[in-house]
Amino acid sequence: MRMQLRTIFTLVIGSLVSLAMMAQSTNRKGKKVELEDIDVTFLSSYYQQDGNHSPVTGGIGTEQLTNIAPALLVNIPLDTANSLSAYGGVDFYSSASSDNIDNPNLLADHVSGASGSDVRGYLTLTYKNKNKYSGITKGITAGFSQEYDVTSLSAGALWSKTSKDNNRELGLKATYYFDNWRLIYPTELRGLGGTYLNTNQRHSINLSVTGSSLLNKRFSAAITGDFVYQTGLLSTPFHRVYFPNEELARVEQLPSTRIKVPLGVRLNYFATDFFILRTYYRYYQDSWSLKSHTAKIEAPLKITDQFRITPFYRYHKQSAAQYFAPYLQHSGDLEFYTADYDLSDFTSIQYGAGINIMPLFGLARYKSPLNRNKAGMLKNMEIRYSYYSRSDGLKASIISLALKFTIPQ
Amino acid sequence: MTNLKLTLAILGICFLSTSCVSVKEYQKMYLNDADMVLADKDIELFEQGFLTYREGSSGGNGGKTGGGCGCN
Repeated sequence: MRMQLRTIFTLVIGSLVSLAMMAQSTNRKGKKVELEDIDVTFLSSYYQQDGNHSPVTGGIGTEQLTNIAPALLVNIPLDTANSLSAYGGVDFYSSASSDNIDNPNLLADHVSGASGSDVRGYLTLTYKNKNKYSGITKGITAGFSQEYDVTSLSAGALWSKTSKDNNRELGLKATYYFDNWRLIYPTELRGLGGTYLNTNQRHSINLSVTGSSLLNKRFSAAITGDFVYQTGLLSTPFHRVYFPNEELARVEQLPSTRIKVPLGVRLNYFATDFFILRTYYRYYQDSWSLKSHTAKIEAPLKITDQFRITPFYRYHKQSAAQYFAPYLQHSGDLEFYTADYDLSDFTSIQYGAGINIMPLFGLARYKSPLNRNKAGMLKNMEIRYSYYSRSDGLKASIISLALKFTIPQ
Repeated sequence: MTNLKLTLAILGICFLSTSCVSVKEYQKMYLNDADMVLADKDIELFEQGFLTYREGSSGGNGGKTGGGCGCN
Protein backbone atom coordinates (compact mmCIF):
# COMPACT_ATOMS: atom_id res chain seq x y z
CA MET A 1 0.00 0.00 0.00
CA ARG A 2 2.75 2.46 0.96
CA MET A 3 4.78 1.46 -2.11
CA GLN A 4 1.73 1.95 -4.37
CA LEU A 5 1.07 5.38 -2.92
CA ARG A 6 4.72 6.37 -3.25
CA THR A 7 4.73 5.30 -6.93
CA ILE A 8 1.53 7.20 -7.68
CA PHE A 9 2.76 10.39 -6.00
CA THR A 10 6.15 10.19 -7.73
CA LEU A 11 4.38 9.90 -11.10
CA VAL A 12 2.03 12.78 -10.34
CA ILE A 13 4.74 15.13 -9.04
CA GLY A 14 6.95 14.20 -12.02
CA SER A 15 4.07 14.96 -14.42
CA LEU A 16 3.41 18.32 -12.75
CA VAL A 17 7.07 19.35 -13.03
CA SER A 18 7.10 18.27 -16.71
CA LEU A 19 3.93 20.31 -17.33
CA ALA A 20 5.50 23.34 -15.69
CA MET A 21 8.59 22.99 -17.87
CA MET A 22 6.45 22.70 -21.02
CA ALA A 23 4.20 25.58 -20.02
CA GLN A 24 3.59 28.19 -22.71
CA SER A 25 5.90 31.13 -22.23
CA THR A 26 4.98 32.83 -25.52
CA ASN A 27 1.70 34.32 -26.69
CA ARG A 28 0.01 33.79 -30.08
CA LYS A 29 2.22 36.41 -31.74
CA GLY A 30 5.32 34.63 -30.51
CA LYS A 31 6.09 37.38 -28.02
CA LYS A 32 7.60 36.19 -24.76
CA VAL A 33 5.19 36.39 -21.84
CA GLU A 34 6.24 36.52 -18.23
CA LEU A 35 4.55 33.61 -16.45
CA GLU A 36 3.46 33.90 -12.85
CA ASP A 37 5.37 31.96 -10.21
CA ILE A 38 4.42 28.44 -9.24
CA ASP A 39 3.07 28.41 -5.68
CA VAL A 40 3.90 25.42 -3.54
CA THR A 41 2.49 25.04 -0.04
CA PHE A 42 3.80 22.28 2.19
CA LEU A 43 1.28 21.41 4.88
CA SER A 44 1.65 19.11 7.82
CA SER A 45 -0.34 18.33 10.94
CA TYR A 46 -0.38 16.15 14.01
CA TYR A 47 -3.83 15.27 15.38
CA GLN A 48 -4.80 13.33 18.46
CA GLN A 49 -8.12 12.58 20.08
CA ASP A 50 -9.50 10.57 22.95
CA GLY A 51 -13.00 9.77 24.10
CA ASN A 52 -15.07 6.91 25.38
CA HIS A 53 -17.93 6.48 22.92
CA SER A 54 -16.55 4.57 19.97
CA PRO A 55 -19.18 3.26 17.53
CA VAL A 56 -16.87 0.33 16.78
CA THR A 57 -17.68 -0.95 20.26
CA GLY A 58 -21.35 0.07 20.25
CA GLY A 59 -21.07 3.55 21.76
CA ILE A 60 -18.73 2.64 24.59
CA GLY A 61 -14.97 2.14 24.51
CA THR A 62 -11.92 4.09 23.51
CA GLU A 63 -11.83 6.56 20.64
CA GLN A 64 -8.09 7.15 20.95
CA LEU A 65 -6.61 8.11 17.59
CA THR A 66 -3.50 9.84 16.28
CA ASN A 67 -2.89 11.04 12.75
CA ILE A 68 0.21 12.50 11.10
CA ALA A 69 -0.66 14.16 7.81
CA PRO A 70 1.83 15.73 5.40
CA ALA A 71 0.32 17.29 2.26
CA LEU A 72 1.29 19.38 -0.72
CA LEU A 73 -0.71 22.10 -2.47
CA VAL A 74 0.70 23.17 -5.86
CA ASN A 75 -0.61 25.80 -8.26
CA ILE A 76 1.02 26.00 -11.72
CA PRO A 77 0.13 28.86 -14.10
CA LEU A 78 0.38 27.21 -17.55
CA ASP A 79 0.00 30.52 -19.40
CA THR A 80 -1.85 33.77 -18.76
CA ALA A 81 -5.27 32.08 -18.85
CA ASN A 82 -4.82 28.45 -17.80
CA SER A 83 -3.64 26.92 -14.56
CA LEU A 84 -3.33 23.51 -13.00
CA SER A 85 -3.42 22.82 -9.28
CA ALA A 86 -2.87 19.70 -7.25
CA TYR A 87 -3.68 18.87 -3.65
CA GLY A 88 -2.36 15.58 -2.37
CA GLY A 89 -1.22 14.03 0.83
CA VAL A 90 -0.95 11.00 3.03
CA ASP A 91 -2.53 10.30 6.44
CA PHE A 92 -0.59 7.98 8.73
CA TYR A 93 -2.98 7.06 11.49
CA SER A 94 -3.27 4.68 14.37
CA SER A 95 -6.65 4.02 15.89
CA ALA A 96 -7.44 2.02 19.00
CA SER A 97 -11.09 1.68 18.03
CA SER A 98 -10.25 0.26 14.59
CA ASP A 99 -8.23 -2.31 16.43
CA ASN A 100 -11.40 -3.44 18.19
CA ILE A 101 -13.05 -4.50 14.91
CA ASP A 102 -11.13 -7.74 15.29
CA ASN A 103 -11.79 -8.10 19.00
CA PRO A 104 -14.76 -10.43 19.60
CA ASN A 105 -14.80 -10.08 23.36
CA LEU A 106 -13.60 -6.50 23.57
CA LEU A 107 -11.01 -7.48 26.15
CA ALA A 108 -8.11 -5.24 26.99
CA ASP A 109 -5.48 -7.87 26.22
CA HIS A 110 -6.66 -8.87 22.75
CA VAL A 111 -4.37 -9.41 19.79
CA SER A 112 -4.02 -6.30 17.66
CA GLY A 113 -5.98 -6.26 14.42
CA ALA A 114 -4.52 -5.33 11.04
CA SER A 115 -6.50 -2.13 10.86
CA GLY A 116 -5.09 -0.66 14.06
CA SER A 117 -2.81 1.55 12.03
CA ASP A 118 -2.89 2.35 8.34
CA VAL A 119 -2.27 4.83 5.60
CA ARG A 120 -4.69 6.92 3.56
CA GLY A 121 -3.48 8.65 0.39
CA TYR A 122 -5.41 11.24 -1.60
CA LEU A 123 -4.90 13.49 -4.60
CA THR A 124 -7.10 16.04 -6.37
CA LEU A 125 -6.19 17.77 -9.63
CA THR A 126 -7.95 20.90 -10.86
CA TYR A 127 -7.60 22.59 -14.25
CA LYS A 128 -8.90 26.14 -14.65
CA ASN A 129 -9.31 28.52 -17.54
CA LYS A 130 -9.93 32.19 -16.82
CA ASN A 131 -11.13 34.65 -19.44
CA LYS A 132 -10.02 38.02 -18.12
CA TYR A 133 -12.31 39.91 -20.54
CA SER A 134 -15.56 38.17 -19.62
CA GLY A 135 -14.54 37.46 -16.00
CA ILE A 136 -15.61 33.83 -16.42
CA THR A 137 -13.56 31.00 -14.99
CA LYS A 138 -14.27 27.39 -15.98
CA GLY A 139 -12.62 24.34 -14.57
CA ILE A 140 -12.69 20.62 -14.11
CA THR A 141 -11.48 18.56 -11.20
CA ALA A 142 -10.69 14.89 -10.58
CA GLY A 143 -9.44 13.06 -7.54
CA PHE A 144 -8.94 9.80 -5.75
CA SER A 145 -8.26 8.56 -2.26
CA GLN A 146 -7.36 5.15 -0.96
CA GLU A 147 -7.21 3.55 2.44
CA TYR A 148 -7.36 -0.03 3.67
CA ASP A 149 -11.11 -0.42 3.27
CA VAL A 150 -12.25 2.41 0.99
CA THR A 151 -11.26 3.50 -2.51
CA SER A 152 -12.78 6.75 -3.66
CA LEU A 153 -12.91 8.54 -7.00
CA SER A 154 -14.26 12.01 -7.67
CA ALA A 155 -14.93 14.24 -10.66
CA GLY A 156 -16.37 17.70 -10.90
CA ALA A 157 -16.80 20.95 -12.74
CA LEU A 158 -16.71 24.55 -11.61
CA TRP A 159 -17.81 27.85 -13.08
CA SER A 160 -17.57 31.38 -11.75
CA LYS A 161 -18.18 34.89 -13.02
CA THR A 162 -16.66 38.04 -11.60
CA SER A 163 -18.36 41.40 -12.13
CA LYS A 164 -16.63 44.01 -14.32
CA ASP A 165 -15.58 46.07 -11.29
CA ASN A 166 -14.30 42.90 -9.54
CA ASN A 167 -16.61 43.60 -6.62
CA ARG A 168 -18.91 40.60 -6.86
CA GLU A 169 -18.52 36.97 -7.81
CA LEU A 170 -20.91 34.12 -8.35
CA GLY A 171 -19.47 30.59 -8.23
CA LEU A 172 -21.02 27.20 -9.02
CA LYS A 173 -19.43 23.84 -8.36
CA ALA A 174 -20.63 20.28 -8.85
CA THR A 175 -18.70 17.26 -7.62
CA TYR A 176 -19.50 13.56 -7.86
CA TYR A 177 -17.87 11.02 -5.51
CA PHE A 178 -17.84 7.28 -5.92
CA ASP A 179 -16.73 5.28 -2.89
CA ASN A 180 -16.08 1.56 -3.05
CA TRP A 181 -15.91 -0.19 0.33
CA ARG A 182 -14.45 -3.47 1.47
CA LEU A 183 -17.10 -4.70 3.86
CA ILE A 184 -15.30 -5.52 7.09
CA TYR A 185 -17.77 -6.68 9.73
CA PRO A 186 -17.07 -7.10 13.44
CA THR A 187 -15.11 -10.32 13.84
CA GLU A 188 -17.80 -12.16 15.85
CA LEU A 189 -20.30 -11.74 12.98
CA ARG A 190 -18.06 -13.01 10.22
CA GLY A 191 -18.72 -16.53 9.01
CA LEU A 192 -22.27 -16.63 10.39
CA GLY A 193 -23.68 -16.38 6.88
CA GLY A 194 -25.66 -13.22 7.45
CA THR A 195 -26.04 -10.48 4.83
CA TYR A 196 -25.76 -7.38 6.94
CA LEU A 197 -25.47 -4.71 4.24
CA ASN A 198 -26.83 -4.80 0.69
CA THR A 199 -24.20 -2.79 -1.13
CA ASN A 200 -20.56 -1.80 -0.80
CA GLN A 201 -20.82 1.34 -2.95
CA ARG A 202 -21.65 4.93 -2.14
CA HIS A 203 -22.50 7.73 -4.58
CA SER A 204 -22.42 11.36 -3.49
CA ILE A 205 -23.34 14.45 -5.48
CA ASN A 206 -22.40 17.84 -4.05
CA LEU A 207 -23.77 21.01 -5.64
CA SER A 208 -22.47 24.29 -4.30
CA VAL A 209 -23.38 27.93 -4.99
CA THR A 210 -21.32 30.80 -3.60
CA GLY A 211 -21.96 34.50 -3.92
CA SER A 212 -19.43 36.99 -2.64
CA SER A 213 -19.38 40.76 -2.58
CA LEU A 214 -17.26 43.67 -1.44
CA LEU A 215 -19.65 45.77 0.64
CA ASN A 216 -17.28 48.71 1.17
CA LYS A 217 -13.54 49.42 1.41
CA ARG A 218 -13.20 47.38 4.62
CA PHE A 219 -16.10 44.95 4.55
CA SER A 220 -16.65 41.82 2.44
CA ALA A 221 -19.17 39.00 2.62
CA ALA A 222 -20.00 35.63 1.10
CA ILE A 223 -22.97 33.27 1.16
CA THR A 224 -22.62 29.57 0.38
CA GLY A 225 -25.44 27.12 -0.19
CA ASP A 226 -24.79 23.42 -0.68
CA PHE A 227 -27.03 20.58 -1.71
CA VAL A 228 -25.63 17.12 -1.04
CA TYR A 229 -27.32 13.91 -2.15
CA GLN A 230 -25.88 10.57 -1.05
CA THR A 231 -27.06 7.10 -1.89
CA GLY A 232 -25.81 3.55 -1.35
CA LEU A 233 -23.80 2.41 1.64
CA LEU A 234 -24.21 5.03 4.36
CA SER A 235 -23.75 2.63 7.27
CA THR A 236 -20.26 1.74 8.42
CA PRO A 237 -19.90 -2.07 8.29
CA PHE A 238 -17.78 -2.41 11.43
CA HIS A 239 -19.93 -0.19 13.66
CA ARG A 240 -21.60 -2.31 16.32
CA VAL A 241 -24.99 -1.63 17.92
CA TYR A 242 -26.01 -3.54 21.06
CA PHE A 243 -29.64 -4.27 21.88
CA PRO A 244 -30.85 -5.31 25.34
CA ASN A 245 -31.13 -9.09 25.83
CA GLU A 246 -29.17 -9.86 22.66
CA GLU A 247 -25.81 -11.56 23.04
CA LEU A 248 -24.37 -10.57 19.68
CA ALA A 249 -23.97 -7.06 18.39
CA ARG A 250 -25.81 -5.95 15.27
CA VAL A 251 -24.19 -4.08 12.38
CA GLU A 252 -25.16 -0.41 12.21
CA GLN A 253 -28.09 0.15 9.84
CA LEU A 254 -28.76 3.55 8.28
CA PRO A 255 -31.00 4.54 5.36
CA SER A 256 -29.55 4.26 1.86
CA THR A 257 -30.18 7.90 1.00
CA ARG A 258 -29.34 11.15 2.72
CA ILE A 259 -29.91 14.75 1.65
CA LYS A 260 -27.90 17.51 3.33
CA VAL A 261 -28.53 21.23 2.99
CA PRO A 262 -25.99 23.53 4.65
CA LEU A 263 -26.11 27.32 4.33
CA GLY A 264 -23.13 29.44 5.32
CA VAL A 265 -22.45 33.16 5.68
CA ARG A 266 -19.01 34.68 5.98
CA LEU A 267 -18.32 38.32 6.94
CA ASN A 268 -14.83 39.83 7.06
CA TYR A 269 -14.09 43.29 8.41
CA PHE A 270 -10.77 45.14 8.26
CA ALA A 271 -11.28 47.04 11.54
CA THR A 272 -7.96 48.85 11.93
CA ASP A 273 -4.42 48.56 10.63
CA PHE A 274 -3.76 46.18 13.54
CA PHE A 275 -6.92 44.16 13.69
CA ILE A 276 -9.12 42.16 11.30
CA LEU A 277 -12.32 40.36 12.17
CA ARG A 278 -13.28 37.15 10.35
CA THR A 279 -16.68 35.65 11.15
CA TYR A 280 -18.56 32.63 9.90
CA TYR A 281 -21.97 31.15 10.57
CA ARG A 282 -23.51 27.97 9.16
CA TYR A 283 -26.93 26.38 9.45
CA TYR A 284 -27.30 22.72 8.51
CA GLN A 285 -30.24 20.38 8.08
CA ASP A 286 -30.49 16.89 6.64
CA SER A 287 -33.01 14.17 5.90
CA TRP A 288 -31.99 12.22 9.03
CA SER A 289 -33.43 15.01 11.22
CA LEU A 290 -29.99 16.30 12.13
CA LYS A 291 -29.81 20.08 12.48
CA SER A 292 -26.87 22.19 13.53
CA HIS A 293 -25.68 25.74 14.10
CA THR A 294 -21.99 26.63 13.84
CA ALA A 295 -20.40 30.00 14.57
CA LYS A 296 -16.74 30.93 14.31
CA ILE A 297 -14.81 34.11 14.97
CA GLU A 298 -11.16 34.82 14.19
CA ALA A 299 -9.23 38.01 14.96
CA PRO A 300 -5.88 38.29 13.13
CA LEU A 301 -3.73 40.77 15.10
CA LYS A 302 -0.91 42.48 13.19
CA ILE A 303 1.85 42.70 15.77
CA THR A 304 4.22 43.99 13.06
CA ASP A 305 3.99 44.05 9.25
CA GLN A 306 5.76 40.70 9.23
CA PHE A 307 4.23 38.96 12.22
CA ARG A 308 0.61 38.12 13.04
CA ILE A 309 -1.17 36.23 15.78
CA THR A 310 -4.65 34.89 15.06
CA PRO A 311 -6.73 33.71 18.02
CA PHE A 312 -10.01 31.99 17.12
CA TYR A 313 -13.08 30.47 18.75
CA ARG A 314 -15.70 28.15 17.27
CA TYR A 315 -19.01 26.96 18.71
CA HIS A 316 -21.12 24.13 17.31
CA LYS A 317 -24.46 22.73 18.43
CA GLN A 318 -26.26 19.86 16.76
CA SER A 319 -29.33 17.76 17.38
CA ALA A 320 -29.20 13.97 17.07
CA ALA A 321 -30.01 12.01 13.97
CA GLN A 322 -33.31 10.20 14.51
CA TYR A 323 -31.61 6.78 14.36
CA PHE A 324 -29.14 7.44 17.18
CA ALA A 325 -29.33 6.02 20.68
CA PRO A 326 -26.57 5.32 23.23
CA TYR A 327 -25.28 1.89 24.22
CA LEU A 328 -28.13 -0.57 24.97
CA GLN A 329 -30.76 2.15 24.54
CA HIS A 330 -32.17 0.87 21.25
CA SER A 331 -35.21 -1.32 21.63
CA GLY A 332 -37.97 -2.86 19.59
CA ASP A 333 -37.99 -3.96 16.00
CA LEU A 334 -36.11 -1.05 14.46
CA GLU A 335 -35.19 -0.82 10.78
CA PHE A 336 -32.43 1.73 11.28
CA TYR A 337 -30.11 2.22 14.25
CA THR A 338 -26.69 3.61 15.14
CA ALA A 339 -24.66 4.26 18.28
CA ASP A 340 -22.27 6.65 16.54
CA TYR A 341 -21.84 9.70 18.77
CA ASP A 342 -20.83 11.79 15.73
CA LEU A 343 -24.58 11.66 14.97
CA SER A 344 -25.66 12.39 18.55
CA ASP A 345 -26.98 15.53 20.23
CA PHE A 346 -24.00 17.56 21.48
CA THR A 347 -22.32 20.92 21.67
CA SER A 348 -18.65 21.43 20.92
CA ILE A 349 -16.15 24.23 21.32
CA GLN A 350 -12.87 24.73 19.53
CA TYR A 351 -10.29 27.40 20.26
CA GLY A 352 -6.65 28.12 19.59
CA ALA A 353 -4.31 30.47 17.80
CA GLY A 354 -2.11 30.73 14.76
CA ILE A 355 1.21 32.48 14.25
CA ASN A 356 2.09 33.79 10.80
CA ILE A 357 5.60 35.01 9.91
CA MET A 358 5.82 36.69 6.50
CA PRO A 359 8.91 38.86 5.93
CA LEU A 360 8.74 41.19 2.93
CA PHE A 361 11.61 39.43 1.14
CA GLY A 362 10.78 35.95 2.44
CA LEU A 363 12.29 33.69 5.07
CA ALA A 364 14.78 32.15 2.64
CA ARG A 365 15.76 32.53 -1.02
CA TYR A 366 17.08 30.00 -3.52
CA LYS A 367 17.67 29.58 -7.26
CA SER A 368 14.55 28.48 -9.10
CA PRO A 369 14.94 24.89 -10.43
CA LEU A 370 12.92 25.97 -13.53
CA ASN A 371 14.73 29.24 -14.27
CA ARG A 372 18.30 29.60 -12.98
CA ASN A 373 18.16 33.36 -13.56
CA LYS A 374 15.42 33.88 -11.02
CA ALA A 375 15.21 33.41 -7.29
CA GLY A 376 12.41 31.63 -5.54
CA MET A 377 11.62 32.13 -1.90
CA LEU A 378 10.04 30.69 1.18
CA LYS A 379 7.38 33.39 1.47
CA ASN A 380 5.90 32.68 4.84
CA MET A 381 5.49 30.19 7.65
CA GLU A 382 2.32 29.61 9.64
CA ILE A 383 1.82 27.46 12.72
CA ARG A 384 -1.61 26.89 14.23
CA TYR A 385 -2.78 25.04 17.34
CA SER A 386 -6.36 24.13 18.08
CA TYR A 387 -8.09 22.40 21.01
CA TYR A 388 -11.48 20.75 20.57
CA SER A 389 -13.91 19.61 23.24
CA ARG A 390 -17.24 17.87 22.68
CA SER A 391 -19.94 17.72 25.38
CA ASP A 392 -19.94 13.88 25.31
CA GLY A 393 -16.36 13.91 26.59
CA LEU A 394 -14.37 13.61 23.35
CA LYS A 395 -11.26 15.83 23.40
CA ALA A 396 -8.93 16.51 20.49
CA SER A 397 -6.03 18.74 19.61
CA ILE A 398 -4.30 19.47 16.34
CA ILE A 399 -1.15 21.35 15.45
CA SER A 400 -0.64 22.37 11.82
CA LEU A 401 2.24 23.86 9.86
CA ALA A 402 2.17 25.61 6.47
CA LEU A 403 5.25 26.66 4.49
CA LYS A 404 4.61 28.66 1.31
CA PHE A 405 7.23 28.62 -1.46
CA THR A 406 7.37 30.34 -4.84
CA ILE A 407 9.14 28.86 -7.85
CA PRO A 408 9.64 31.33 -10.75
CA GLN A 409 9.28 29.82 -14.24
CA MET B 1 -35.43 30.00 11.24
CA THR B 2 -37.63 32.72 9.68
CA ASN B 3 -35.15 35.40 10.75
CA LEU B 4 -32.30 33.38 9.26
CA LYS B 5 -34.10 33.06 5.93
CA LEU B 6 -34.84 36.79 5.95
CA THR B 7 -31.21 37.68 6.69
CA LEU B 8 -29.96 35.35 3.96
CA ALA B 9 -32.50 36.78 1.49
CA ILE B 10 -31.43 40.39 2.22
CA LEU B 11 -27.76 39.51 1.90
CA GLY B 12 -28.47 37.56 -1.30
CA ILE B 13 -30.29 40.52 -2.88
CA CYS B 14 -27.39 42.77 -1.90
CA PHE B 15 -24.87 40.40 -3.52
CA LEU B 16 -26.77 40.18 -6.76
CA SER B 17 -27.72 43.84 -7.07
CA THR B 18 -25.49 46.53 -8.49
CA SER B 19 -26.57 49.03 -5.87
CA CYS B 20 -23.92 48.07 -3.31
CA VAL B 21 -21.04 50.50 -2.97
CA SER B 22 -18.60 50.07 -5.84
CA VAL B 23 -15.06 49.78 -4.55
CA LYS B 24 -12.40 50.93 -7.04
CA GLU B 25 -9.23 48.92 -7.57
CA TYR B 26 -7.09 51.58 -5.87
CA GLN B 27 -9.38 51.39 -2.81
CA LYS B 28 -8.84 47.67 -2.24
CA MET B 29 -5.72 47.92 -0.07
CA TYR B 30 -7.53 46.49 2.98
CA LEU B 31 -9.66 44.02 1.04
CA ASN B 32 -6.58 42.51 -0.63
CA ASP B 33 -5.02 41.63 2.71
CA ALA B 34 -4.28 37.88 3.00
CA ASP B 35 -6.55 37.57 6.05
CA MET B 36 -9.52 39.10 4.22
CA VAL B 37 -9.92 36.11 1.91
CA LEU B 38 -13.54 34.87 1.94
CA ALA B 39 -12.65 31.22 2.53
CA ASP B 40 -10.85 29.03 4.99
CA LYS B 41 -7.07 29.37 4.89
CA ASP B 42 -4.89 26.53 3.61
CA ILE B 43 -3.64 25.73 7.10
CA GLU B 44 -7.25 25.07 8.20
CA LEU B 45 -7.68 22.18 5.73
CA PHE B 46 -6.75 19.58 8.34
CA GLU B 47 -9.07 21.09 10.95
CA GLN B 48 -11.93 20.98 8.46
CA GLY B 49 -11.08 17.35 7.81
CA PHE B 50 -11.39 16.15 11.39
CA LEU B 51 -14.47 18.32 12.10
CA THR B 52 -16.18 16.72 9.11
CA TYR B 53 -15.68 13.34 10.74
CA ARG B 54 -16.44 14.30 14.35
CA GLU B 55 -19.59 16.28 13.63
CA GLY B 56 -22.38 14.55 11.74
CA SER B 57 -23.20 17.73 9.83
CA SER B 58 -20.73 18.39 7.06
CA GLY B 59 -20.70 20.64 4.01
CA GLY B 60 -21.17 24.36 3.48
CA ASN B 61 -17.58 25.11 4.34
CA GLY B 62 -15.63 23.11 1.80
CA GLY B 63 -15.84 20.06 4.03
CA LYS B 64 -15.57 16.59 2.62
CA THR B 65 -18.80 14.83 1.65
CA GLY B 66 -17.30 11.74 0.11
CA GLY B 67 -13.98 10.17 -0.48
CA GLY B 68 -12.90 7.88 2.26
CA CYS B 69 -14.02 6.60 5.59
CA GLY B 70 -12.49 8.49 8.51
CA CYS B 71 -14.99 6.71 10.68
CA ASN B 72 -12.80 5.72 13.62
